[in-house]
Amino acid sequence: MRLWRLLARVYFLLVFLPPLGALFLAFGKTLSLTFLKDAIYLRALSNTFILALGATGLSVLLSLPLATLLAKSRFPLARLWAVLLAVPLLFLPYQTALAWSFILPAPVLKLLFSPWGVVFIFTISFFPLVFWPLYLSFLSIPREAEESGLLLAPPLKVFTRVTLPYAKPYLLGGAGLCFIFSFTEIGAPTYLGVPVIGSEILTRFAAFYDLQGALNASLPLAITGLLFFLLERPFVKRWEIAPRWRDPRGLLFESRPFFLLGGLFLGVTLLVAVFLPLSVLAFKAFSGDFWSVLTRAKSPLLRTFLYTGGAAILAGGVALVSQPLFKEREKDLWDTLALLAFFLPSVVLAVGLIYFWGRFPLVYSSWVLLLLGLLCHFGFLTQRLLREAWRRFDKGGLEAAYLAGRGFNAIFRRIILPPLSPWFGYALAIFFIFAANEMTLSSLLYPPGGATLAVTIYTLSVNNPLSVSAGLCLLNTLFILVVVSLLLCLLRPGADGSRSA
Amino acid sequence: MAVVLLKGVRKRFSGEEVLRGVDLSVSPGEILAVIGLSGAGKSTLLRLIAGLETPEAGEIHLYGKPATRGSQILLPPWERKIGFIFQNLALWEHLTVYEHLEFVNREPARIKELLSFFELWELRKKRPPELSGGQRQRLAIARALAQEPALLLLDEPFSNLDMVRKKKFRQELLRIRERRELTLIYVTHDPLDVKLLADRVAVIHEGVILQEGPLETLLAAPAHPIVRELLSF
Repeated sequence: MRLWRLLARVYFLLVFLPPLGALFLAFGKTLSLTFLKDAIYLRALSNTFILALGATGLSVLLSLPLATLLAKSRFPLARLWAVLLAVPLLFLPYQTALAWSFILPAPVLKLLFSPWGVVFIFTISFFPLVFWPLYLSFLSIPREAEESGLLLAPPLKVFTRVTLPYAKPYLLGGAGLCFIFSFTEIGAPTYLGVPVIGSEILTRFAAFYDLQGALNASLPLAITGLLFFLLERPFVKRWEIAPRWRDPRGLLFESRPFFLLGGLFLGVTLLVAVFLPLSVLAFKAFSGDFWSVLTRAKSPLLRTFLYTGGAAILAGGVALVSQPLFKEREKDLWDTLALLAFFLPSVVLAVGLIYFWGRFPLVYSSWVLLLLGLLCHFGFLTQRLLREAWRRFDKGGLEAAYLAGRGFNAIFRRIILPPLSPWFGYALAIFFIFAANEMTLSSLLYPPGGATLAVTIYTLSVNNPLSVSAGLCLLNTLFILVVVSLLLCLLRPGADGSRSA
Repeated sequence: MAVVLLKGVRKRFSGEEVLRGVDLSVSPGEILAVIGLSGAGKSTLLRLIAGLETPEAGEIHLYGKPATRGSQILLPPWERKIGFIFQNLALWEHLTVYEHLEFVNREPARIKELLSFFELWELRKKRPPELSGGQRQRLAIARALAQEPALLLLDEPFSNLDMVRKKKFRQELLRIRERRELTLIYVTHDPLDVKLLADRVAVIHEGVILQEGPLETLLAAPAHPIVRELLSF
């Protein structure tokens, strides 16, 4: 037990403290604000904010009616549609941009290659980050809370006064996630020719190897990430409603026009965000030499599987083991650091990692740096999910097992692991989806000759036929889909008590 | 004229018939207790009267007007003038005591009167998590009464209470009933509740009302062994 606790502490210390500490020290010591006079930089900075704000606003507008339709009415096959609405998370935003550049006719194409186009691509790529928390929170509202409202006021009033306030922390949380992801995404804006701050930092580092310049340039991003970090507790966790899937659920809207309009809206959203991009990419990929694409993708695919799969298992495993071992106060500490690392834009975090680990050539020039980056940036996801699972775990059974005189290993294996394994499955799947689709962090941290598939897609798009990029994107999506499906099947999420997440 | 009239009401959940042709009539000012085993269909009956569920067949009339005919809702829940006290009280955690009543009734004077009656005026700025169990219960009743209902439905309101609170709550209900012409239907498991509160009792079993009438009549001549079992102390 002591050994496990020690190992878990070493893990947390190694993963979170170096980059965060290095960033803190570096910003304090060597900061120069001359970049604020650079017109190109300022344009990229304002673009970044405008694009992220636009995408977040539109994602909220898109998610609100969809979540209402699927969670607050008896719309047929609601769960299937909800799952399909998560599919855009399996796509790289770059890939969606690429697909839409094939779909749109020449006169409209100009609009896609503009900030408007980037906002559109970000919205259809990241809206599931708003939709899913909102949908789950709608499902988790106690049925009686809405019904007691329905006896007193019409559905719309109940929705605005009862349902929405319950869901507010999740709506804000989802919107925050959407903002942070749009804020740091570089693939789609670069392809669409819109300069953003992430690509500016990447250029300063990768092309000119100006680490100090990159660090200075990332200051506004770091401040924004810090702001989100500080706002999370008062706003998102305000009422501590844990999303639990309730059935039967409270229903509000049952009219036929609502079903018809909602169904139409859902259909158009799925068409625009899922079916059209996917089918166009498939068509493009198979119209080129798909087998040569497969050959090219083999090594990056394997590396992505190893890096992200390894990171997911490590992050999930440590988060799981640390739940019974750590006291709440210690969990709070790691949770806070992990949250900070999650909210820090990936490009800033990468700069921090390089700043610290650059002094250790063995780490710096190997895959370990990328692994550390993924663990640091996405570790929060597994940490939060498994902590929630632990909160719901019946501690009485654990005490009974201790009283029976069994050791920690046996108790962990026989008593703790089985009920938590579905949550573990969810945690791994979510980590894997985000890590495998990550492009910014990976572009800065991958070892020489060790690019992941997402990075390969990004680099090959410069001087290869678009059919190659299309094929690689399609492979990337299929690969994530297969791994996540296998994970979910093996660890059987969906058992009672684990259906929230 | 009956406040509530049910004719041949049937309800199914996932293919299973929960109510199998229920007929029931409740007069103005009456307190009717509905008693039965778990899963007998008691709560479903209340939810159908409130309009929160749709029946497969039958008719529900409220105050002499049709409210539900077959699976067609003629009067939506918010127009039925029904107060409902749920087992878990169903308070809104994000609203203050005052806002709970303001959601229902916009007249400040009336809100103040109700909150004072239930000794909640001093607590008007507090939210449900900051209230004690008894205060939460009083808030649930005050909210239900804020819309001036003619009918109050209570779904096992005493099930989570200790003996002292139960007694207080019963007294509260009788006090309300005396003050206004209210009709009450409440679902319970406890024969003592029936004895202390109800003018009439309906025993529901496997989706049908086995017997109804004053408690003494049912105890003297039970129509089915389960009636005696449910009502004996």
